[in-house]
Amino acid sequence: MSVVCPNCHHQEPEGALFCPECGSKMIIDDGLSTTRIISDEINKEMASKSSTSTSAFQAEAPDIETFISLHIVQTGQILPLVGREEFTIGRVSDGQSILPDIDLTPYEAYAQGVSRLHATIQIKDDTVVVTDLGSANGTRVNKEKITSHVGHLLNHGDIINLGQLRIQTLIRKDKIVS
Amino acid sequence: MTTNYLDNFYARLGISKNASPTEVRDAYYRAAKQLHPDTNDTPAATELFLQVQEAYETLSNELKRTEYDSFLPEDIEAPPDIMVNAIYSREILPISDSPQLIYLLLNLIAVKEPIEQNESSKPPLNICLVLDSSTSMGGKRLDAVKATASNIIKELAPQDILSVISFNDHSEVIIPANRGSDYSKIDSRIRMISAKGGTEIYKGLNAGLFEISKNSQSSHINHLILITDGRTYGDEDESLQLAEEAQEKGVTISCLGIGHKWNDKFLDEIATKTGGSSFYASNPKNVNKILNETFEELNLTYANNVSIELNSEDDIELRYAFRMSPNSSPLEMGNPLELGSVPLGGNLSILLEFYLPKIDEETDKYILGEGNLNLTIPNRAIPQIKNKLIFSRPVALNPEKSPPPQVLIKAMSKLSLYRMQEQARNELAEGKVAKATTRLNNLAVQLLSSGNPDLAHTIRLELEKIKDGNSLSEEAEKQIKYGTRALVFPQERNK
Repeated sequence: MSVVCPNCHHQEPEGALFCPECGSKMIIDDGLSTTRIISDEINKEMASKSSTSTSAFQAEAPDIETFISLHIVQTGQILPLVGREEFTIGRVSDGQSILPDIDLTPYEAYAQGVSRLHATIQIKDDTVVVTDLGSANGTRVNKEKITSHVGHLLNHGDIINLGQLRIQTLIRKDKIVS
Repeated sequence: MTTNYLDNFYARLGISKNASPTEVRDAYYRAAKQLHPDTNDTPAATELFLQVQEAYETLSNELKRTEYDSFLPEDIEAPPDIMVNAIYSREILPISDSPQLIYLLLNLIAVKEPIEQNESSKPPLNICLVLDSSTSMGGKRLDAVKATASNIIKELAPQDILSVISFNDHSEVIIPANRGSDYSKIDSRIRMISAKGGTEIYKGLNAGLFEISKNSQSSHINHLILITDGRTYGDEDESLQLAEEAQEKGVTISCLGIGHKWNDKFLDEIATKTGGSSFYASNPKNVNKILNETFEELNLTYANNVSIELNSEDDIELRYAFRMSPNSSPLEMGNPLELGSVPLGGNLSILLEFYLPKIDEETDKYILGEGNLNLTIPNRAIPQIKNKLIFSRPVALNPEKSPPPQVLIKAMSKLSLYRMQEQARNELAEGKVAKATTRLNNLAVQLLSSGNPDLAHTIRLELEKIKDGNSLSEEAEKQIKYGTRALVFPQERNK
């Protein structure tokens, strides 16, 4: 009898409360979330979105719903990715016909070398994949350059470089409360 | 129902077993007032309040009280004017061949306004400032320390005793242990300290301990404050021995490191051996605040030199001990375990982690540990107090699982971050760079998701340097350590 960390699968003796390896809570969460990064409004939004989108997920992943947020490392901002399964990331400039879903202009995207349509992030079941869209300055994951147009699997905490702009992926897997 | 030494309904209310019904009621009103979650901001207030209420419900009812008493050991005693509370992470332990963990939050709360203590009759301080005056302290650092020392001296009460030592390659007694003497003379002597030479902490500590020992009776609050900005070489072991001597004499040591070139592990060890804490002033500007708070806390001490002697069955292991408040700090894993002091009207809160390899029979009382709680209440006629102590839990086959109390989850959520940092540093010291970086990475993620982006950012920056083959920078080590430590119990001490 031991408890297994829901995040990193590390095993600890029964009675452990937090995983010493990754810091995740190892006991059943009774709904009292301690997440504070995301403002209340976003939380509410997430909650409402999750209730509408559960049916779509339920066919394949009945228990787990994945929430992705992007953390802009330089500025500390958190951008939750909610409401779709695919997001394009880039920056908006004058006369552009196709606009990205996530506009990084406020984070000095141009100066950091982010292309207009730089990459996509796809959320499928509980996996998250980043794909470079043939950007001028390329995309790196944890410092390794990824090949354009080939999907790369992301893990919680991974650092994505779009040009010079560093973004951390935050992945939260929540049990769906029925 | 717990019917233990120091973990019983009487101790929860801070009264003796012979208390009259009126005393029980008064104690309850007093406790309820003090611990009500609306007025008390200690993290455990709600749980403590509920525990006090549970105790009162039984003790205020004559029948229930008689029945409860019949299960109690004859000679239960608790320290005077202190409410004792033990909150366990699990109500009942299951029989199991595999290892288990249980956490225990022990709270010692001084009741507000004990009869024996008011401002004019506060126990005398016997403090010694041991100041590093090596070359590196020159300029802003020494100026900040000297200015603060002068301020503190002005605040001393007539009964307080002060001594000041300056040390570099050798030590000098700037002010010998003395009561209420000429401030301007003391002040000018402190101002004359100038910076030169190296840092030999043993010499400073030795001279300081000598001065403080002249008056280290248990009716005094004996406290040595070591202030340094550098590393000492070759005299670490001797210094640690001095810390042990200090502990035996009832002298607590606080250490303050300025800048980032000092050895935090070493200063922590010196302080925790005596139940004290180490502090980090990244900038000389912080010196004044930290020292003033320390001084204020000394004046608000109700009981000090609190320790527990704990004996457990061979296979039970007390794996970790941490003081949540006041001054969150890991505890030196000795026996006795030095806990620190109970502030007047405040809470000494300790978290213990027990590792239980195997439990094989059903019992009402599986004993995690038993021994004594020792403490000194300087204001009492007989200051040194020793009370019996047992921590135990019932054991059953497949008990119903109940969620741990929220207060423990909250405490552990913060403490686990501090421990990850600790673990990562140990791994780095052992050359396990890959493991350490993974852990620090995870720590950064946890810090981010708990709303501490600055600290997460510091770790991220360091991780990039580690990848180039370095260890953590001394500055980052301290920022991360004292940063995560401060999360455990964010203190707003400026009342």
